[in-house]
Amino acid sequence: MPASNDTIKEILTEAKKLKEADRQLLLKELKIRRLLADNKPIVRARKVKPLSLEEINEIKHLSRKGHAK
Amino acid sequence: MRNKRFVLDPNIYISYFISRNQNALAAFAIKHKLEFVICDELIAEFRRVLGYPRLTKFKIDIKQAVYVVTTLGTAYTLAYPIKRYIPQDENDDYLIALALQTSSGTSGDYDILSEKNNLERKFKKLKILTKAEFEQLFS
Repeated sequence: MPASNDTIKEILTEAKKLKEADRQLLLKELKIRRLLADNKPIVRARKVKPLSLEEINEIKHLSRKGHAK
Repeated sequence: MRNKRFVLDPNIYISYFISRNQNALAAFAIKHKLEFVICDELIAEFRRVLGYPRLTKFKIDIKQAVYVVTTLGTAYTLAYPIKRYIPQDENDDYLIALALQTSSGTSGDYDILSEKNNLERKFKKLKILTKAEFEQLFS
């Protein structure tokens, strides 16, 4: 049975959505690649020993307490 | 195919950044088509922790750090009200809520990990990983 106009319209709408999703994914990937290429430093201090995850976690909880005050 | 989604606790992002390993997350995202899920609450907490006095010695460029997380991440709006998931710390509930709302895996702190078994039993699609398990999965 041939597809009705409504069905074709639905398929076209879905296809457009998919294309938009693909476009967004591609855009996101390009932005991330740009980040990698730029490689701008986030931490500017040198020779500071990184903190462990436990220490960062502790700071997170302390910052929450400060925030609650 | 849909990307694999992950909600990372702010302390995981910070751990990568202060160990000068920020590119690892970007590389994971591209290589494994990962989607890092973020929300306003996560960014607010991330920003707040980075501004905490004990981290000033790192001279963190907070603006750049937020830019990296928002570029890596896809922003979702958290649906309210948020249920209670982590009895030890209700401030962690938003991470689980976000993971459940977006069908993502999540990697969290010790309070979240301590509830791993309970939550994974209750929510079959939820996967809670340590940072090491997350890295093992994609490295």
